[in-house]
Amino acid sequence: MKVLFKKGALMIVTAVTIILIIMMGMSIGGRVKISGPENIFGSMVTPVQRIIYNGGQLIENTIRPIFAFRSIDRDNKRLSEENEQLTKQLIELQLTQNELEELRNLSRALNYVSEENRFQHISASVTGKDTGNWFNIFTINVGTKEGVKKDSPVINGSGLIGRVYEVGDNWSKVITIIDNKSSVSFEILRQNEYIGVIRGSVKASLSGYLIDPHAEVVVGDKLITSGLSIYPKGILIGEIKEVSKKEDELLKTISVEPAVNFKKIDKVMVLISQGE
Amino acid sequence: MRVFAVSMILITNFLIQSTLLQHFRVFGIVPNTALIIVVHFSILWGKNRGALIGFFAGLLQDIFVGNVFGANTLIYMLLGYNIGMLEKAVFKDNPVTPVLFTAIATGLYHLLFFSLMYIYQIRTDFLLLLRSVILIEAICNAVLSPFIYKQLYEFVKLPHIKVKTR
Repeated sequence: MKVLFKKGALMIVTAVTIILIIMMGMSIGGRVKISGPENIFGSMVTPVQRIIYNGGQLIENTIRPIFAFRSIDRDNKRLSEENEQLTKQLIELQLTQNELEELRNLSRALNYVSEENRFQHISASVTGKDTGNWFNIFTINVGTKEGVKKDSPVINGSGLIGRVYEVGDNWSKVITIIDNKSSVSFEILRQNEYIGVIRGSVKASLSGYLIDPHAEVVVGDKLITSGLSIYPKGILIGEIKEVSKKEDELLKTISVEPAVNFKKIDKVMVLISQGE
Repeated sequence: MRVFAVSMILITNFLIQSTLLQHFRVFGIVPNTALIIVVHFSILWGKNRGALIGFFAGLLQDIFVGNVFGANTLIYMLLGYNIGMLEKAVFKDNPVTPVLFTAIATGLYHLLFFSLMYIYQIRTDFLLLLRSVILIEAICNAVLSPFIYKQLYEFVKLPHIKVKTR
């Protein structure tokens, strides 16, 4: 038996290699249903991960400000300036708000079908992140029991994060928009006829192109989801950081600064469609 | 007992790597401690155990945070097996051994991952990857490896863990 094992080790490794390559091919786009043992194991580990993750965050939040006091000071100044500007804007918007309210009432009176409230929000906590440096995946502590499905959009207060990749009973994997495998169709908030597609990269940055090469976009334009892909319309993605047009290409390429700080994600919201 | 101890090491490592280490990224890179552990075990215990430990370490990562199921499992297993072949040729007490092997293994890991992803139509810019991920991660891993190696070296010398490797 032992001799067989010694001679057969290479055979076993080769056989397992072939099986794994086939399995990889099958699971390439994220599986619809994960297997039973994985599910049970995931349910056991997720709560523990949650505790350690919180612990790590606590340590980081205590240590980080000590080293970053200069940038915090700079941020503070910038934010107070921004605050003044925003207060001014708020007053202006208050007026428009009232007008909008009236129009909403009117549309309700006319029995207009509303686009809103099609989605239900479920809040979730991040339990762990990708251990390698290739992908940008993290796990959250909600799953099929809460109604999460594959490809449900995931957002937080600042904007779009990504989508659910695989779901377990009470945990699921989320793939972010800065992952090099995901792409999002967007439109420019200022001029919503300008649409395009952005994708992530290994460097965790967003870049993409506009379909119209003559589109007049400038640095600082805000991007929102266009509703053409799996994400619902109107979620903030980020701001344009750089616009470039190459002579030999028909497309205008842009690089985008995401609205969400992907290094510090803690609480997220999963959108679950109510229809169907 | 041995199986239990090793699996506890792997699980604990995974838990720490996916949670605690995430908060302390260097240039956005997290050191791959699972890889370090697999490499060190296969230096110490040879190819068969190296492959087995690599398999389970990779499986753990694939279940939770893997994008393509099986990629990590396959790469760790192959690395564990191949590095384990050199078990009798390397000088285990030399502190340079773990550092060198870890750095090489990190490079190989990314090379294999790149080829696998290439097959499955996930294209990435290799030079960008080399610059922004591989170099930094190789250095991070190499710096961490002597500390982990020291722990594991003492661990495999424990009376109830010790194995005969002719």
